[in-house]
Amino acid sequence: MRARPRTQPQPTTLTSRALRFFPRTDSAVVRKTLIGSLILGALIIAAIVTAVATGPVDIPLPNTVRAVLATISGESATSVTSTQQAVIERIRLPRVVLALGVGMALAVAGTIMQAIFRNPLADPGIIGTSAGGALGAVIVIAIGLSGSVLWIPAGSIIGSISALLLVFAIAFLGGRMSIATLLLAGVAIGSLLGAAVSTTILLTDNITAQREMFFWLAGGFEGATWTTARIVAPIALFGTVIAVVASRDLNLLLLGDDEARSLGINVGVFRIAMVILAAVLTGIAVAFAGIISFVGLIVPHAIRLVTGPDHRHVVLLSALGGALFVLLADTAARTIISPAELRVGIITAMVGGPAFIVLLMTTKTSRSSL
Amino acid sequence: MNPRKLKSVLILFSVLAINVAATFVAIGCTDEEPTPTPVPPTSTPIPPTPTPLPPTATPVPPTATLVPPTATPAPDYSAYLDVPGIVDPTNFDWPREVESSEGLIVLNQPPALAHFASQGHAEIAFGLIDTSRVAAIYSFFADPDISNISDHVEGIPEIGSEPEEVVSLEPEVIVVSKFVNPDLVAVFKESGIPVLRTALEGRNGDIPNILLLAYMLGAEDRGLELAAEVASRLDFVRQRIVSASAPEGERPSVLTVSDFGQIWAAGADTNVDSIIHDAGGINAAAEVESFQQISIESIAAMDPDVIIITQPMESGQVFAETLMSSPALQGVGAVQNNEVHVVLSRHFTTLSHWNVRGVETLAKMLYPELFADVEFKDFETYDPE
Amino acid sequence: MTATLPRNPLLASRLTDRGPSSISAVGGAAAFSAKDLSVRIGNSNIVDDVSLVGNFGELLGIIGPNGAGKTTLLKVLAGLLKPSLGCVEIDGVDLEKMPSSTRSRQLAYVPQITGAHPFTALELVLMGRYPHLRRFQIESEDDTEIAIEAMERMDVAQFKGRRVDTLSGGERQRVLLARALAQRGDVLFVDEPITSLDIKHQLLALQVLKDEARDRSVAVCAVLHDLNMAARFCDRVVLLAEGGMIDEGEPGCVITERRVAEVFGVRARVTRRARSNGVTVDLIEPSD
Repeated sequence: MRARPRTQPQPTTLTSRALRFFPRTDSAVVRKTLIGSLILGALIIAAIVTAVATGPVDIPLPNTVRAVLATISGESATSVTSTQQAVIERIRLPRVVLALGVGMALAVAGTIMQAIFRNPLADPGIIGTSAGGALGAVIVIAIGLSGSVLWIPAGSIIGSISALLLVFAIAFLGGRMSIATLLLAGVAIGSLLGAAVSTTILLTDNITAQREMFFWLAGGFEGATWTTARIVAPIALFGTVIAVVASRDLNLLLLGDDEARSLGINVGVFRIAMVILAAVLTGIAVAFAGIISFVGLIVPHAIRLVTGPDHRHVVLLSALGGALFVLLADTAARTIISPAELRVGIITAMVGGPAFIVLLMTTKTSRSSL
Repeated sequence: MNPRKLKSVLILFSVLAINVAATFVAIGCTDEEPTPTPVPPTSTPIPPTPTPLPPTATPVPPTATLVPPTATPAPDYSAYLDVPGIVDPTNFDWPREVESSEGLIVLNQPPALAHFASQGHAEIAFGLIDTSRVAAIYSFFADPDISNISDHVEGIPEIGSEPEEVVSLEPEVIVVSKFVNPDLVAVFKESGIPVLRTALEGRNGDIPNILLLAYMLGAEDRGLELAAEVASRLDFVRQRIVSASAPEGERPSVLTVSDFGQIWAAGADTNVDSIIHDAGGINAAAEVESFQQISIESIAAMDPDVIIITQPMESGQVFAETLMSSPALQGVGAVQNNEVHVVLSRHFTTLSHWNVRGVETLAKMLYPELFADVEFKDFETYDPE
Repeated sequence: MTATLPRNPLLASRLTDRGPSSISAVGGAAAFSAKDLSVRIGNSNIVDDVSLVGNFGELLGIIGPNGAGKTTLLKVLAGLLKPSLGCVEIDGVDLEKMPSSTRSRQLAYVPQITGAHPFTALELVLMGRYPHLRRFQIESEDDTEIAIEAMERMDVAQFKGRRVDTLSGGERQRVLLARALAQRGDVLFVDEPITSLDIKHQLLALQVLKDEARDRSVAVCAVLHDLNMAARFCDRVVLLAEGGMIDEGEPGCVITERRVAEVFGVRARVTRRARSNGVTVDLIEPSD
């Protein structure tokens, strides 16, 4: 008989046992998560208030508040005109919710992709899902399907899924999927689909459709309705929750396949699951808001720069940061040249591009790199 | 030069880089060719009943049409005096010289074949010369949603986006607009084809462009005629609106929009802005610079009395329904008074004298009783007889 | 010599009972056992029909020239690579049927190098505690203590706040070893743990691994290049060449002048040490 000593020191009392499951406030992860979410949460609330209270239609703040409360309670507010109520309830609020959801989805997808590929330059579109979504949408516009606002998103989602399946099929050709084959297949399919998008646009004779394709690709939230917001927001939230649950395993993925495996994750299955999750989040964002660049790339970087690389706080804070960034960008897009609007994708690129360069320049001494 | 090529290239890059996209938006929005406001098929069929043009005192000299070709007295060409680009406006013999930012062009005889790279120039040329002298068309010249000359392009070779296709047709002169890529212009010039570059305004009937093209093409008599018709028709509308003496502040506000997935409005500094003004309206989107994207909420804030939609009829009707049923717009005058109209966008979005048709349409829409007695007709293309 | 005496009486008796060199360990008692392992990549057998056993409380060395299949064998043993043929059992349980979470609590694996990543040394060592935490459990003070203690043993506690990618190769290697210690597995697979260490830390690291085997009754299996170190610290060594196992047994029996010449192609003088189970190897020159 063999009597090996137990390998793990066990808590000896009930109290200490209970304490092991209670987050220690002196833990860096808990502290960063709490402080980070408090700050970002406060900023998001401020951004929501700003976004809901600003717009071409001048609505006094008390009426704005009343209209929001009326929207929540479902009752009609007194002293708020029907136009004011409609503007708040049907235009600004769904747009805010959609922007938050899309920002969250993109930032989480970017965080996941950067961990999977151990590459700080990975963005949500790196495995071709954005291009697939774009192609799906462009084809729907080219065919001229109309009658429902959901046609284009549906086409986009089908495009994203097809792109993902194609990438998987190619990545698995050699047997076991490695990140190298996945990346190469993703980039190849992405370029191919990108070319297909361009070709579709060029071959479209209908100039109206051509323009619609072009502007759709630039990304934006002007089409926001409760229908779209109600689809995007829950998926973004759900995806964020899954990513938070998986956040410790994402840490291990960064170490490399062998170390990750030896520290207890089934790398093959986990990676595929995470790729699918990121692809779903990207696909849903692209489907309802077009291609909004830099969010998935820049937000996780910024968070890591401030908090360090542990995904147990990076995932959640990136989700909040992405939501905040996109909401601010959209608010800027619709107020800077009001009553006209800029494309939100242009704002994120204009802010994200320079910010990214600054981060790259400071990254050597920072913790933002992967 | 080929505007489709230019546009294609731009779109291609836009897909790859959002920043380029931004540039394209900026360019695309002011480009004259397919202006961001699109083009509907015939909504209310306007029968081309030839109504007598109202007699008006116009700044344009008396038309030369009544003068028999054989008559000895020389027509009055004084209208050509102020046309930019004509080197010697007193010279109506050959060779003639015209000048633009692309340099001096000397023509020894009337060009037998000319290429018009933009639709506005083509629309003017179709009113001046026989279409056998037009080298080529692009596919959208034949699209009735977009083009005012779609009925007259038959028999003219249709070309694609390659500049080589233009060169191979050996036109004697090429007319380009101000947005045509300089590299492509260089290709034409290096092939030995002189290029005339003129800006189309889409306002005041584009009379200087009519006269310049007429002079260059050797159609100076027809040029006078067309310029006079354009000027007098425009003036007729203006006069009647002045006579109705609606004070500036009380004129109806008009919003011109089209839906490309997003809503685009024609703001200040657009040809549509001057159309609205000429038709006796106020541009509700005057705060918007040129063509810009706006939101439903912006429409609510602008509160226009009339909304006109410049895009193909089918999608335009869908968009009109969307506007009419939008909860946020129920307080807007245009929606309350059922004044959301889909118009023939080729009269509004093109940059040529055809914009006067837009003025006439809109004027009658804004002041039905003022123009009840008038049935406006389309411009005629060149007829040898 | 630093022949450490077993401090655990129970363990000492076990070692005495069984002897350190029993290849056919009594069923179920082996910490890990491999049977007829082959790894085939393309047309060549990287590992060719290898069977071996590792015992609790024992430091087993794997030696052999470059390309002998040492790392591949280690990865198969650690469950990171599936063998083409044969199977591995850990404590009597088929490794392939073991859930990865269970495996990670029982086995620790130390690669030659770790990739570039932004974690600090302490964060990296604490990851050795992940297998013992529930999904939403944050490392406790106990875990941090375990990690710090492991780092102290490997003399890297002073680097705990440093990013791993700012450490030197040798320092990084010691951090990885510390993580493996913190993982508190029953079986420890270590790939060339001392290759980039200075001589002091070579001695320290191998001594810690040996202590770990003796004190906690862990089975340690290390790929080593330095024959002197292997002879000095290993209870047993396995000699591999071209994927196959040439010999197995006490270092003094396996490492001989003839073997060194045949397998490594090096002329060497091997001197038996009277008072230890070891030998010293003086390398002279390549033999051909």
